[in-house]
Amino acid sequence: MPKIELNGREVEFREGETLLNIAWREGENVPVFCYHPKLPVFAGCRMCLVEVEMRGRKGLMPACGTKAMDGMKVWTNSEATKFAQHSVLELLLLNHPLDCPNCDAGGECDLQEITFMHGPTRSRYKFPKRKFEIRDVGPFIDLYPTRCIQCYRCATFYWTIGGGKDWAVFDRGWYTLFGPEKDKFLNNEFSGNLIEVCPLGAITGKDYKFFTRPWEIESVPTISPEDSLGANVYVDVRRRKPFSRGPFVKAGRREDLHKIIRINGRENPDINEFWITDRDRFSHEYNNINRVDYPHLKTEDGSWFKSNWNVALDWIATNLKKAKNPAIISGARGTNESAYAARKLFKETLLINNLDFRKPHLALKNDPIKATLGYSSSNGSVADIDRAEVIIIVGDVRETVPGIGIRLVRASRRGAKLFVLNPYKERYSYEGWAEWVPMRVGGEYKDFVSFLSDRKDELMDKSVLFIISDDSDPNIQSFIGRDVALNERHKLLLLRTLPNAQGFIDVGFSPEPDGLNTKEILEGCRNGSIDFLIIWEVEPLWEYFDRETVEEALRNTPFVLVLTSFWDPSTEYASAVLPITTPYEEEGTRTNLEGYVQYCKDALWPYEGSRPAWWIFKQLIIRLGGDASWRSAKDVFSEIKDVIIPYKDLDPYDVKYEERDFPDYIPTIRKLKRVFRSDKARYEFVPEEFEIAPPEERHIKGRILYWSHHIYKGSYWAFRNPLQKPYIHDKTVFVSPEEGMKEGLKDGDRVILKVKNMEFEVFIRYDERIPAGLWVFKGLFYDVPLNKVLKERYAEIEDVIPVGDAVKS
Amino acid sequence: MLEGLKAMLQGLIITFKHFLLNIATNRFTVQYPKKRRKLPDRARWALSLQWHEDLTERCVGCQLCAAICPSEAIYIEGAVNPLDSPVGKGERYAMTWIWDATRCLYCGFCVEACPEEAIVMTKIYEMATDRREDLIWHKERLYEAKKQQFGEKPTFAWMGFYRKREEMGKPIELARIWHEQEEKYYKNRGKGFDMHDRYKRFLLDERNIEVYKEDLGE
Amino acid sequence: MPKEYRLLLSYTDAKDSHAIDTYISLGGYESLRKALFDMSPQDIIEEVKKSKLRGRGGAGFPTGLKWDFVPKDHPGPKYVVCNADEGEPGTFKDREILYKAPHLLIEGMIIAGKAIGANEGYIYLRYEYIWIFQRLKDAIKEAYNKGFLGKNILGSGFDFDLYVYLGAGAYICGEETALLDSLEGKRGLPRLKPPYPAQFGLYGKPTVVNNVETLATVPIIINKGGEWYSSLGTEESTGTRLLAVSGAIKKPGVYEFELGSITLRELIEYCGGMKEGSEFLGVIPGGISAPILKEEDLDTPITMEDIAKKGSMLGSGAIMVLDRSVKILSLIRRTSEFFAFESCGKCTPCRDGTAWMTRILVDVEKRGFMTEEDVDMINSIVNEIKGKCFCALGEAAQMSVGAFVNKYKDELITNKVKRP
Repeated sequence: MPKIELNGREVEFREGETLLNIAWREGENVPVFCYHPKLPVFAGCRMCLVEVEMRGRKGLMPACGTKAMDGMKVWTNSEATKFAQHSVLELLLLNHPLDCPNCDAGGECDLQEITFMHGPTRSRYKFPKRKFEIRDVGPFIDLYPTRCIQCYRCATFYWTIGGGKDWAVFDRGWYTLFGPEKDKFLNNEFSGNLIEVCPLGAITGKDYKFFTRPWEIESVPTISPEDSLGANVYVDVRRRKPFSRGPFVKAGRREDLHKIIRINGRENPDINEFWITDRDRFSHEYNNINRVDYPHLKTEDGSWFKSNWNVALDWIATNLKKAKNPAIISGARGTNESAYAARKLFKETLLINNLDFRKPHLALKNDPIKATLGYSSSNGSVADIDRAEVIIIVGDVRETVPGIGIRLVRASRRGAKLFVLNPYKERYSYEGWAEWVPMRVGGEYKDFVSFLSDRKDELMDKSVLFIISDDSDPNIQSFIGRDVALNERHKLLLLRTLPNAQGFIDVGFSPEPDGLNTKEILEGCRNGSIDFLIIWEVEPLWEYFDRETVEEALRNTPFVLVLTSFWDPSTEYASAVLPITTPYEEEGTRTNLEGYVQYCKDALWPYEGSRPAWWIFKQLIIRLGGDASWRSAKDVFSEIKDVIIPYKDLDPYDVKYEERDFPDYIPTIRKLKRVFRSDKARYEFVPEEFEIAPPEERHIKGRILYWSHHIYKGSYWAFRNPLQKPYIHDKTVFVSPEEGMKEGLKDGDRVILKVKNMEFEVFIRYDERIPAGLWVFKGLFYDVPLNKVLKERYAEIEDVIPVGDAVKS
Repeated sequence: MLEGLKAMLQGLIITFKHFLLNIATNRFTVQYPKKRRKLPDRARWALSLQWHEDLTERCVGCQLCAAICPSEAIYIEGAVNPLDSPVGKGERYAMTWIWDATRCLYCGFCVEACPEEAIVMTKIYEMATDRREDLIWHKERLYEAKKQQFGEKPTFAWMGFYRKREEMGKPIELARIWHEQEEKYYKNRGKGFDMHDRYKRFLLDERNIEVYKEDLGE
Repeated sequence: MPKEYRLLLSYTDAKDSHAIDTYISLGGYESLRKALFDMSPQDIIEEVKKSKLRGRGGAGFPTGLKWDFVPKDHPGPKYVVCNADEGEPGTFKDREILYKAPHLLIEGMIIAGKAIGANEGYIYLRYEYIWIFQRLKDAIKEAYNKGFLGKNILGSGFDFDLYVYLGAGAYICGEETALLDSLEGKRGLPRLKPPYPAQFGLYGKPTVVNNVETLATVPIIINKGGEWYSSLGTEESTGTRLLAVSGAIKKPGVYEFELGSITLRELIEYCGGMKEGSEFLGVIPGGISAPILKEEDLDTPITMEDIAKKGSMLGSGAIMVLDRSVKILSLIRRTSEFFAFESCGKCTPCRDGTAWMTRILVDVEKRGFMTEEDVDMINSIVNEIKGKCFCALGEAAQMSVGAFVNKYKDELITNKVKRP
């Protein structure tokens, strides 16, 4: 092994290691500003200068950018090094304002810390400091350019990792200014990471702004529930439990128990590396809004009776006992434990298989992936994006599982070929990271197959990764499933549009083999064959297509029990509403789309009387004579381990979190156990023909109303956030500028869309990414009940009637 | 037996000595609610918050007091200072300011830590109440507290101990004078310099009182 | 009195010297033929190595060595880049070649391309030379028409394409890696070295970046042989050098001398001596980045090593002769201001140190004299910058301002500076 001399002692190193790595590994204190382990080396701040002697020549070298060479002599504490640190800090502090008491980063600021360690006590600079105006660059972020020390971390992150194009560096030298163009909002879903990347308070978050200080915060390591990627996060709260462990009560307020201060990324190299999306980061203010506090029962005159848990559960259990044919629908948003408890209630206590979490239009008898691949799961992993030569994406990744975007950008930079098959240009094809292959609405399958046959040469003998969202055309899914089953170099990454869908499938929250799926359950409710319906953490009126059927189904069901955290519209049809905890209030495990079972710690105290869903199911099981003696979510999981075979060897509760301190900068590799899926199945399984009727071409001529996901508006929790309002386009339909011009509409115009003889008032917004003829509505249907006319993802627009002048939505 | 008597006598002598001393120096039990003894100038009791001259709040909500508080008696929530009707002078201000008297040690660290000189310790010591909630003071009461202190002046805890002289603001001027005198005292300790005398001389010094008045806007 | 040795400048003498016909009539493109048909790439590199030609841009790195560093068996494309971003204040020698003998440069670039195996070349022209831009493009067009550029040059099977790129007026883009960034369309910031451009240059491919004068010398070396060239000049600084002489002299302009054949004093005399009635103050031997030399150093021969011994550098060969009509304080302030304005802002010492110096010097200029404390302060800042910068810009700023202040310290502090 080659050796260097570090502060007089011999140290071995690996080839290609930088001096900084060696020094930190050896426990030497080398301060840094522009260096970040996850970003390319910039070496501009000169804070990490160390004295180096090589071939008899002494000099100062940046430790972060200098590769160690055999025979080098390095001093991290010599006079020259100390003088360099001192002078660089003095120069950095020339312009830095002394507003630490005001600054949000005060207390967790690298500049503060390093100045205390190495810096001068006072400045010799006698001239006015450079000043910039505070900049508002969107609903999430504030820029304080005056505080900036021009380390370029933000630009490096935004350009190379986030893949954004709208972060610029203006001017040069002393007046270098970072940020988007004037009066522009940031448009990248990873922009929140800038707050964490900035070594000081030049970029701060609006959710956290001035509310508290870092030393008041307790950081709870947990998992983001927003999407099926399961990004690892730290949830920062002021108080987790009402009483601290000691004999004294800390001064404070009760509201703190239900308030998340902010969310930060946590390192997990397998899943989210270090970065989280803005949806993960800024979706936490919903926690206090519109919550159900205690069990509510409907009296005979239709008013609500605020009850306690015993009374409510007894009454519900009595009704459930009487019910002949109960059923449960869900949104796959709970933990694995809750899903298992629900399964136990239905499959083992009531002995009925009517449970499903899929949306009705996707609730097929046969899961296309399972029918072809042998198991309902992706066989690739997120890390496969870094290995694949060709990546074929079906659907809009940015709106469904945005977190994998950093890897897509990296793959594109690495030289992999990316294709996006989508009716409109989504982010990656629009920004040039991928090639857009247009898909005609109604002819998706044919376009997909013709794409594959056209590009046969490019795909031949390459490792191909299919990234497909689980709500895309089942025919495409089955095609890919078959392809992946037969071809060893092809992998599949199935993006789950519902957060814990994989876990729900794994623990058996599905109607197999003889139960009713969501579509049949709703049909059964409508014709009266189902007399007890549990709606668990899903809002059918906002999420499901064909709203009239849903409404009729809810109206015709004798007893509707709603388990929810919020007073959503389906509670109007409920006979009883039970409050359940929101994800950050509940302990449990979640399975991500590639099969990692991860432990979510409870960051907050449950709101008022709300309880975790598994507790409610447990009480019902006991009241119905079943056997459930769990005392905690951990108990439930130990039972899951006995029953669910793939989960046999997992121990997600035994998780050790590393300290979140300075050594955190040294890259660590965490060993996370993944659900074991037998690869044997792939070879022994003979793909059966998929039982869907061969796809018929259904092209609509003229204007098509097309539904798509939305990163914020489509999320069950995120759209409730006041913070994200500017990015949530209420009542908005996106069209291409040509199409809008053809109809004589301006950007922001109010129009009435006539679809199937019903009229809807919406706003028009121009989006040049959308091809002519397509009118795209995104997200949940809480503002415009377009699902009254949408029986599937698209419908024909009969007429467009402009109303009034342009009003910005 | 004899030893017991001796001890008893010794005790009686001490008692008698103090009896005589108290009579000689005129020290009697104060009839408390009717009469109140004047507190020493550096008595440190309930916290109070200060205003700027233009009646905006001094506190910027930096929470350094809460950070230094050894018994976690201070709780602050910051917020953005509205530009149209500013509450304080900074970008942020304290939206919630809670002082828990039941937890407070009256150590004065918070006064010392405050970069804006917003906290002072008053001489309000009559905080007894039969409701626990009354011992938890909120922002309004803390800003009013200065007025309730029976005509006495608020105390600056050991403010200025660690500050550079040229950095001192006006309220610290007082502490500086104290500090100088204290230094002198420690130098002359055991050389016949009387502590009590020092206080007396301090109070007689008109200059000090003027500074005092200026600071408090009295 | 020493004589000029017009090696490069001989190509600029004729009328219409920029036209390809004139150039060919002077024996142009002969060395290209020789290089293409008679020499292997390694031969060319050996020839240049033999000539001991050192870079003319300022740092003086041996050109042959630089070319040799380019990996021979690199599979992808390689590039030759000509640094025509002549931003150093006081320098105008490359302009002479670019404007009057562009084909000399073009020929040199093609030979360099052949030597390192590059099929594409870029000339990065500074924005202020926009008036040369069209002429350069015309010259390249002519060369294409004559078959010296393009596919299969003169039937040799070697392809070479040449493009001109106009900069946007940033001094930092004269730094080779910043130039490459700018050429790629990015913000012009110097890159971390190593890897050097010879391994990881333009678009991440092996690249040779050379000054105009260096590349223009290459055809002559190929034509007359490396050994002949190395016989010119001294042992360490071989060949001739273009000197852009300006300032308080009677005949400013571009002169070409054999290195070591003339001292600074003789050069001033050669250029007609000082202007009438002006009193000598000092001479800056290599553009504003080079520390100033005073009267006692005037007998230094003009070679890289001799001037380096005096604590300055020959740099880009811009010799500025200053007289007493210059206000020293304004000169220092302006120098510091220039570096502060042109600092790219990548590294802290350069960005903040130069700006701080400028603020102090502006103050001092207003006051009209310096104090001991000012000198100490400047020296202290100079020490804080020294050896800590990312590229040469900060080091140059610290060197030249430090030299100004320290060499004229007595005059500045006692306020004895004569003013007209």
